Amino acid sequence: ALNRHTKTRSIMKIVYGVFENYSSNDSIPQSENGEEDDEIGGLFKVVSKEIQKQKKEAHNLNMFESSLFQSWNTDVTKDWLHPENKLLIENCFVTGAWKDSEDAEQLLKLDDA
Amino acid sequence: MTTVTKKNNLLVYKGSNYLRQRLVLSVLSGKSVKIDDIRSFDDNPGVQEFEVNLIRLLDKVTNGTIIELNETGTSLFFQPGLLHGGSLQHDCCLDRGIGYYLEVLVMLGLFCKVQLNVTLRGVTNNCIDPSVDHILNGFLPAIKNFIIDHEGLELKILRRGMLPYGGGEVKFSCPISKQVRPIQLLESGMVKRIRGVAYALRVSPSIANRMVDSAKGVLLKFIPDVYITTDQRKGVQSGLSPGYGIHLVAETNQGVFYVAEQMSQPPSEGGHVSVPEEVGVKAAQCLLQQIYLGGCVDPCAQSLAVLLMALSRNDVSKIMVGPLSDYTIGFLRHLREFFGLTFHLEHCVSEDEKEGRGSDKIHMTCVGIGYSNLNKRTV
Repeated sequence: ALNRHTKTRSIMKIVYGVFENYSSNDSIPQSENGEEDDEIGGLFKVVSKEIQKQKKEAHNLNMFESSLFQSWNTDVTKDWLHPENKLLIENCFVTGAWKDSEDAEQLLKLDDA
Repeated sequence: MTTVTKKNNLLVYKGSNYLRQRLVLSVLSGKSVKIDDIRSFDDNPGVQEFEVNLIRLLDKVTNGTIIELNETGTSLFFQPGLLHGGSLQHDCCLDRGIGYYLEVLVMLGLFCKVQLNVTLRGVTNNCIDPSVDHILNGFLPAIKNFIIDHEGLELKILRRGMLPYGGGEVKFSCPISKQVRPIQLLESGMVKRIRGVAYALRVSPSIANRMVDSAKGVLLKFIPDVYITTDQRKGVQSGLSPGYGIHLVAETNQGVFYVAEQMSQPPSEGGHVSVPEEVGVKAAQCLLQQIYLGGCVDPCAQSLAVLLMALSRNDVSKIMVGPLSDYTIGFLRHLREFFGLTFHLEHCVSEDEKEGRGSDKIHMTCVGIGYSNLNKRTV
C-alpha cells in the first residue's frame, strides 16, 4: 500500500477514478454477449479483463473492515533500527535536523548578518 | 464500490465492506441505504453478529430508524431517524473491539441532539481495531481541532478486557456542537516526546515492566524523552481474560499524536505464544512506522478528520496527511456519494524539504458543506 501512494502521480485518480468507470458501465453488458467466442475448443475460457476486474471487485465487496492502516498483528515491514531505515525518519524527531526557518543555528546566523 | 442505483434518497450498495461508513454517512445525511449481497457466497452468509450489534447501537442513538433485514441477512435496508444521543449503555460484540463501535460514536457525537453519554462493554484492546487507548490518544485530539469548546469530551477506561472474554468497560461523553469549524493543519511538527502505558491483566505484574524495558530499548535510540507507565489492574477492573499489552503515543511539538499498540495473542490461537519482550519491541517498531507515515492526524483518524472537514462551516479546510489508507479512500468515495463533495488531493511539494522526514505527504483540501446541528438551533 505504501508504494502505491508514493509512485503514482495523481492521487485524485486513484480515489475518484472509479466514478469515471461507473458512468461508462452501460457499455459492459454488450461485450458479455460475445462471451462464447472467447472459448477455446469449447472447453477453456479466455479470462477477459472484464471478468478479472469483476472477480477483483467481488473480492473487495466483502473485505474485512477496519480503519487501522494495517492490523497490529501483521509484521512490521521494516526494521526501523536498521541504519538505512533510521535515516528515513531521523528528522521526524526534535533531535533531528530542523527546517531552516525554525533552526536556531540558522536563525542566529541571520541575526549576525 | 460505487453505488448501483441512486433513486431519490436511496443509495444501493453491494457487499459488507465499508458497512460502518455507509451507516454513519446515512445517519448524518438522512439518506437511506440498501446493501445487497452481504457475503452471499460465504460459508457464513449475511451480516455477522458484530454488525447486527452495530446496527442496534445506531438504533439506540437515533430516534425513528427503520431497519429491515431479509431472511438470510444478506440484504439490509436502513432508513435513518434523527440523531438523538443521550445516556445509554451498550454491550458490544466480542468479535470486534469497543473501538469499532466507539469510532462510530466519535463521528456522530458532535451532531447529536442531547449530549452523548455512553457506557460500552466488551473488548478494550485487540489487534484488528483501534483500541480504546487509541481513540483516547489519537482520535480525540483530532476532534479537538474542529471544535472550540471541548469541555465534556471525555473517554474513561473503567475496566480493561482482553480477548476472548472481554469484560472491559469504558465511558464516553461528547459535547454537542452547532457547527464544526474549518481547519488549516499543514505542519505536523516533530516528535518531542513519547509516552505510553503497559498493562498486564490477570498475569504477573512484572510482565508490564518487561514490555516497558524492551520498548524503551528501541525508542531511546531516537529520542531521550520516553516515559512509559504501567497500568496494573485488580479484580473486576482487569476484565475476564488474562493478557497484556502496551500502548505508545508520540507527541509532536505541534500537538499531533501518533499511536501504536501491541498485545499478547489470546491463548486459544494455539501455536504462537507471545513473549513480553517481543510485544514491547514490536510496539516500538509499529510506533516508528506510524511516525514514518506521519501527517497532521494519527494515520488511523484520517477518515474522522476527512468527515469533519467535509461537514465544517462553508470555508476552505486544508490538511496535510501521510499516505491514505484504504479505509480513507473508501470514505472519500462515500462522501462524494452521500454529500456530493469532492476533495482536492495533491502531493506536497515544498522547497525546504530535508531528507528523513518520513513518507511523502498529501495535501487534502475541501470546502465544507456547512452542516449544522439542527437540534441545537431549534433549542
